[in-house]
Amino acid sequence: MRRVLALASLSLGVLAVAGIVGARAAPKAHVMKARADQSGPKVGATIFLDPPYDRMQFAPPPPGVQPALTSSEALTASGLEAPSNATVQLGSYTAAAGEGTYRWQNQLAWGFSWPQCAPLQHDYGPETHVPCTLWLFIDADTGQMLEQAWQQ
Amino acid sequence: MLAAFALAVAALTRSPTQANATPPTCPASLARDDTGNDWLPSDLVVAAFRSPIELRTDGVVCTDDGSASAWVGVQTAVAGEHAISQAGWVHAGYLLNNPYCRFWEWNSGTGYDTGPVIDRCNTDANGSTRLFKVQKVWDPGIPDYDYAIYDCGTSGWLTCSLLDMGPPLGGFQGAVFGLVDAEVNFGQSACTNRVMGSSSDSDKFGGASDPIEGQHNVGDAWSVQTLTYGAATCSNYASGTHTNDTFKEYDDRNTS
Repeated sequence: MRRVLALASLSLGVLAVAGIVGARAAPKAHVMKARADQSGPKVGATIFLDPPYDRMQFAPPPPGVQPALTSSEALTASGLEAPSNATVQLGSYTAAAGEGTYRWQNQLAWGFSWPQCAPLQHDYGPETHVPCTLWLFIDADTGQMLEQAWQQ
Repeated sequence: MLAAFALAVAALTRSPTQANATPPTCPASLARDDTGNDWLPSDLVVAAFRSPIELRTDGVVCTDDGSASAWVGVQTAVAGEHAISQAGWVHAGYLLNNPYCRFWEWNSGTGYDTGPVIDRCNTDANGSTRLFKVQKVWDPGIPDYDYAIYDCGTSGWLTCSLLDMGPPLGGFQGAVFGLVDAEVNFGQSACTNRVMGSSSDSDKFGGASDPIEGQHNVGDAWSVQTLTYGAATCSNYASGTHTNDTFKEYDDRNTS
């Protein structure tokens, strides 16, 4: 019963979000690819993955934008998987490389995150803070893997 | 309302990376191990270090957080300090299906570590060679030099993509060395993870025609440097070749 209630609640939430989204003008490229089931949880406030450097951020998606793929479709298309305890949000991913260049800039993405401590690829000591939240960003329109990074 | 929800999409089964080996479970304690070729200039000054690195899609890494990587980097030479800037290939056992990916990572030397930032998982074929470099670059925003990280593609060093500005020079305490390295987080006596490469198909860094090279001071010409080989604790991690221009490593348990 609890599970059924949770699903019903989630469905209502999705419908509510869909209603909000439907009331706004979405960019044409995304509207053309929109389908009924693409609404889902969206980033509410910008998440900075790497403070104090702030080169990687996951921001709320542009108003009205709908992805071509659901989170499940995008993940399947990427060829990657996420564990059952992962959470997913739709947002706009930006990763600055430096010198005014970007690996990704304002890319509509599904961001999957779960608790996982980073396996550092070098020797390190107790002074090192090991990040323990993993983010996997998948292009919400194509299912291409953007990148996997860690939240500090 | 808009909070993230738990996924129901995951298949919890994992695929072995090769037919003859199923990933073991990772031990409770880390046992980092590596084999590498190091450039230690007498004055411990390194402006840049670069190498072509060949990907070998074999080896086995343990679940749930095992990894094996092959990378080029610049690291602090100060004992007990851990600043580093590195890039290359990683066999990521901490992701489901244990993919092979490109990665970069840096540690500030002051406690901050990016963790391995990875992309293009399972898109590069076995035997692919990519050119990676770490180079000292002035960063007016700090202001200081950074050890910036580049992916220079597959066909020469003229066109490189900046992956990240990397860590500020200050964290390196004024003494650094360059290195190419094969790294695992569960090795040593238990030798749980297998590095990439087999005796017949080694994981190759550099080569006679496109060697491992270093740049001593900013603006110097790139040139082959004197490298020093360092063996791993795990006896299965082997190196058939470790000269100044080439480094090959493999796991003698790999058969592909």
